[in-house]
Amino acid sequence: MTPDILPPCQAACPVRTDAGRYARLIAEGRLQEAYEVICRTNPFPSVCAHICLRPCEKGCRRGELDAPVALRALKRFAVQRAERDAPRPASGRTAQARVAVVGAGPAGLTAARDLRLRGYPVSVFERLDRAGGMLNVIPRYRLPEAALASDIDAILALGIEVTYRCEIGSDATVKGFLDKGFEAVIVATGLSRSRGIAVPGFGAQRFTAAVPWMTDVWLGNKVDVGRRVAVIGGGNVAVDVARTARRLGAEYVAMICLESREEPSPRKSPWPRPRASGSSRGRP
Amino acid sequence: MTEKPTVLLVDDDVGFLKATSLVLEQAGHLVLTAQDGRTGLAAAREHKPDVVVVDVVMNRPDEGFALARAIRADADLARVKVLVLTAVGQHYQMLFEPDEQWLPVDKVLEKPITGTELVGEISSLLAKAADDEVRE
Repeated sequence: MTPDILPPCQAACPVRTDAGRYARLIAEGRLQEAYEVICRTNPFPSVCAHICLRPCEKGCRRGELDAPVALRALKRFAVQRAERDAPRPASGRTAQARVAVVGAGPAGLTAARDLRLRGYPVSVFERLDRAGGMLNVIPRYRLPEAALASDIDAILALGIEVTYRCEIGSDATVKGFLDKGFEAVIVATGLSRSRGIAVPGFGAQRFTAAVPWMTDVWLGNKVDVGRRVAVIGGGNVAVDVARTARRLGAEYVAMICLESREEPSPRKSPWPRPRASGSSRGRP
Repeated sequence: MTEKPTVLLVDDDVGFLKATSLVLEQAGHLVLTAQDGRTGLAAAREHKPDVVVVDVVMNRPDEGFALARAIRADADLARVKVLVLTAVGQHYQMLFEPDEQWLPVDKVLEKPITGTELVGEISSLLAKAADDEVRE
């Protein structure tokens, strides 16, 4: 179905989750079925139940009357209470072509899952020693480790083999995969770099990009935040960095961004809370 | 403008300047070099090259960015195409793109780059400069 003939909540969802249907099933107490509706198009139901930006709620027709249905909260309710019986690979039509997927982040795992559900034998190759990619750097207070782990476990339980500490380019090549008998290679290495900003003072001592910094925090590497921290940017990642800096002991965190506190972008869902952590927004 | 297109290379790596000069000269360019932002800007003002290839980290970590902004702020150098060629994005795990305010350049490329690729990129910028001139 094309988006223009879908209900607005479903059309607004990037994976076209049938929100109306799972909300109805939850209302009827049929949580397992609701969970299965959610999983039908979404490989990361728990992750999205915590951190998705709720485009469905912005499209919700109920919002025209009073307030949109709290779809993400309902999704979390269903996901946490369902028996988590993962979808099974299609039976009776096992495909023979072996597929290598490079990267065990959300894109790579989604590709692996979709192929596995269609019966393809899939091997995933990951640079780090765990799966999840950039989802791992989302602070745990926003995305609990158990929620991420449960989604990853459900995907891998389909019979997907992962080889960790294998980096394409150095440990493996596309040609190497093909030589080893894989008939297709999907490169889903993602974008592990922050957007650069060439402001004066760039490269000063203790200047760092958000993504490697958050990665260090995630990996438990030594992170020295100092006393006063300036965060350039006002999006989700910037708010995550600011709040994490406070939690790591920074006494003062200033966010320097284009948005004003009064005009938060609807995409910046974590914004209303950071004041409690002691961050301030605006000119330092 | 001389008959040969002029390329100014600004980089603190002398080996890079020597090797790249050879490649560009073989491709038919007249090559000038400078090893820091200050002399690079002076050379740009004096010779008005067709293309300036700028490194970023020299004496200061953002020297190339500052040089690029200074060139773009100089009305006499309005026709000069600026190409940033750097490994700084890998070092800081950042992805740089031209930006009207902070990085007003025509192209950002990452080191390492082959001589053939660099010659190709410079040819593209020269072709764009010729197009711009026709439009004016």
